[in-house]
Amino acid sequence: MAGSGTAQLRDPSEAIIRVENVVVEFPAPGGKKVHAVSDVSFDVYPGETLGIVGESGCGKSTTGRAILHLPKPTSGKVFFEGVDLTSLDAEQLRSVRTKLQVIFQDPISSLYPRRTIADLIIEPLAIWNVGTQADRLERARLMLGEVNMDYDSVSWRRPYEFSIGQCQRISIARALMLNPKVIVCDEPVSALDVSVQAQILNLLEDMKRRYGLTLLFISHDLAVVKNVSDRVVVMFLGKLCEVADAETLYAQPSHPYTRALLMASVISSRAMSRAGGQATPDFSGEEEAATEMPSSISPPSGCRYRTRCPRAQAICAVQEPVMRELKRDHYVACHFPLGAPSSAEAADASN
Amino acid sequence: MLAGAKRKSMFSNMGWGFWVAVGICMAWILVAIFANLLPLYSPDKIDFNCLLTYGKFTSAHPLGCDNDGRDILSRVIYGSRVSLIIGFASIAISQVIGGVLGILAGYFRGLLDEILGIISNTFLSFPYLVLALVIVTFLGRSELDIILVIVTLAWPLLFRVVRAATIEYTQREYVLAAQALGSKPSRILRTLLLPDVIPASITYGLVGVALAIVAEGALSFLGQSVPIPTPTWGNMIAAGSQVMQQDKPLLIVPAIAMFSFILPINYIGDRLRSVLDTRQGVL
Amino acid sequence: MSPKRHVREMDDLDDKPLLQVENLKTYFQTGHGIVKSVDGVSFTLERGRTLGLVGESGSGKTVLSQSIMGLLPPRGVVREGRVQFGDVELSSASVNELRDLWGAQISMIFQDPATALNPVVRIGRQVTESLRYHLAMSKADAKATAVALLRSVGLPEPEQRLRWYPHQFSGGMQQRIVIAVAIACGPKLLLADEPTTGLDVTVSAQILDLINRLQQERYMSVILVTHDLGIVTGRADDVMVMYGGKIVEKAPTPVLFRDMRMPYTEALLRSAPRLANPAHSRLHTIPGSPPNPMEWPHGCRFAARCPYVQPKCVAEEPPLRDADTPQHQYACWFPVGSPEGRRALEENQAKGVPAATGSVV
Repeated sequence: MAGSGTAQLRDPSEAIIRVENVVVEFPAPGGKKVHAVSDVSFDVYPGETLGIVGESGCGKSTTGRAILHLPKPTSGKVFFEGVDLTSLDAEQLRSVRTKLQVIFQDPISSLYPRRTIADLIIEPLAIWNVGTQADRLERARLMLGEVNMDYDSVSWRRPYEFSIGQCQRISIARALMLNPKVIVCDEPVSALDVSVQAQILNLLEDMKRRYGLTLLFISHDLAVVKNVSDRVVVMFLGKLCEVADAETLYAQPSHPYTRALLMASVISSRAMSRAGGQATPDFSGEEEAATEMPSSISPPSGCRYRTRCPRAQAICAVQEPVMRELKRDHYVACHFPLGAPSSAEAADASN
Repeated sequence: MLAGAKRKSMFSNMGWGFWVAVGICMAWILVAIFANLLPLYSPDKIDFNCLLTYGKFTSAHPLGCDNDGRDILSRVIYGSRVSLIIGFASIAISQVIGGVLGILAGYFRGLLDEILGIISNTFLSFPYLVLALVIVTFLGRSELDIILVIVTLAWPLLFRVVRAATIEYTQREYVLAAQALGSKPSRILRTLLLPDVIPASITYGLVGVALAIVAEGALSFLGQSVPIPTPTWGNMIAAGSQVMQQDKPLLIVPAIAMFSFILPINYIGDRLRSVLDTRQGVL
Repeated sequence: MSPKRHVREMDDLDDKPLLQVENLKTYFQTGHGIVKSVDGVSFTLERGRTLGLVGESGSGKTVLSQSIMGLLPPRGVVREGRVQFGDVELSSASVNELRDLWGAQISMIFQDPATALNPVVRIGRQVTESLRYHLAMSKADAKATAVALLRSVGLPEPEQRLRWYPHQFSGGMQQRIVIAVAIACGPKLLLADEPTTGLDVTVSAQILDLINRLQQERYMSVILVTHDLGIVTGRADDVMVMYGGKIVEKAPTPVLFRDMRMPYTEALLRSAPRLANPAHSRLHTIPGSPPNPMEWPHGCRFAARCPYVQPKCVAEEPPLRDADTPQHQYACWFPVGSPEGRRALEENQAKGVPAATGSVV
């Protein structure tokens, strides 16, 4: 499966974020390169939540960082509100950051331990010289209240005095201080217990609604991604596998990898759903041929998923599948997708 | 960390040895500053009586006399002034130079880091004796020149320490978070990196002071340090080593004086460094 | 002279439980006060059964598993209660006696396989080390056994990879190696502390299947410690839910999911996002945060966050009592599904107590 192909991109004038053919490579010892992200394209409309899901090493976090230009991608374009970020100089890029914020997986280490919460929260306003000190503290009080924390008991304390869940709330409050348009959420609940995770996910939904945010939600947890996303992108080893809206992806996955992920997740989900009296879709099917993650320094030729794919055939080693539309807003990069014509058949049909 | 817990001050656990060392160093520093107020002979004053009691401890000259008839006690006290000034000044200047360059190299990396690396490595790879001799030959042997010699030798070491610390702290996620908020590099350096880099630099610097004082002694042995009659611990030891048989006090007294300062200050720097390292682990 | 075996042989145990824990308490003395991580836990475990121990951060589950094994710091720890493993009383065993048990009869695997393996020792040696120490095997025998072990945990090409170092393997493979090391001497009890947290979903599923398979093949008992209720379904015979340093509910797994009584268990189950639910479903949350282990609240420790709370809950701590089905115990005055529980819930909902999203401080 390849990320090459931009069939999944929609109207550029509508998208608030548009990623085009982004490649991120890192140097590896011995003069080699780690192909962390290899030709990935997708877009996000304002007010949408795009979920990016995949296992470790798939490049989802790296993609998020590339969008944020921390650091900028090796090649490709990232459009934010129609402006190509890769073409901006340092000062221009800096000023874009007020509208493009991020929250991290480990909230405690993203908060400077020597400062008080009040200082940490008003830091964005201090950086951009917004308002007087009194104004800033007022806004801090407001934002902390939004995330259900009491300013008076919290503001003079330091991050290490709080639990992970509370620190994540503080990070969210900080991200909201500058009234951003887009927040990139890089595995924001992966380090949290289930009950705290639920609080934070509900909070993100509330904030999104209240402030008209657009979210890019990166996670390895399928159930979490489904819960928050409108549209979902599945990644494997630096490439895109499938792009679809959340309900369709989970009800009718087309890419074998998507199905494998769902099969692995659903076992736990099923029993829990049964306990709650609900049915789960049945994801029985062929198991993966192997489960080792191939090397990102020398990935498999052709489709990168082929070494694990139960449906792989000769062509998969030779020709990288390109993203194509299966039906409305459902794209897959696979020669033999589930429940759909193979790429050869589709090519014949269109001729 | 438990909610509500407060961190203990770092100084509550340093141990009695640490505070004894601090006391000794403070004592020397005070003595050096207030040497004028002490009832001592002038360090330059040549006293013929002293020459007569050369090599012995007398009530008039409790620590003996040097080979020119000057009182060793007062010379050791006044010598502390020069040695300490050389030690602290040279390291302080090296910290400023090495520190500023180190933090820039460590944060920005890239071409700047490579160039500074080449420059500092060049300084480091120079045989230090040759460098010292060259500087002293062309510029002279005043205290300022000796300080300059030590600075040229010490700044690359402090550059490396600060650069390594900066690289490590820059990888912390709160720096990434600050960049994501649009913070300028100058602000990040100032508010996030300096507060952690400076303590690290200071602790290495204290150890450096000990080394600088010893370096001055080494230069004295080459005859390249501050010339007599200005007393330094180093040049007294050097002179004493020449007349070891006849005038043991001239060798032993300044050696003990130097030792009694550099050992505690070395210990202070080392203890601070180990405490700081474990605290950074907690951070 | 044959080399000494460091193994505590155990008699045939089929007629009694393998592990009996009675009122186990583990307190830590810190500079800020005493942390009562485990505050009176009792349970039994039969041979060949899997017990799931579920709890969130701060519940004491990890301390419990370490305390059972005796893997606690030498100072500053107060441990009360009895832990009976077969015919050995672990709670009063000396370190030497424990060493003959660890690895040989009781093994533990932890969350992060990379830190459990020695990075500078080849994996072959890490596996054979235990075999040679405990079972006094010869080098050749140990090597052959190691190859068989690694094959049985699903490591491809084990003969060649004996000479590899841990960092050359992926996280999932490292965890398999850790498991191989743990079961090498055929322990009767395996403690698995969050073995799949941090591993990918596809890998996690396999690791858990592997543990299940080995457990059946070797008639081993397993305690599976996790914060994820989903993991224990289908893999554990019995489940214990821990909160506030105590067990608040225990039951055979299907019974627990079908018939839970303790409101915390219910809340935990309902707060997980489900694949079956539509996108943007509102998740049930548990308001507030777990109490401070240095100062457990009076009465039921979940009271402050419980939707069924009544004055009695704050006044008196509910004991563990039996439910209708045997082996199902719970600690609650107003349990889920009971008439008094329903009344309590309705009353609270009418009053709007506790707040849906209380202040978190």
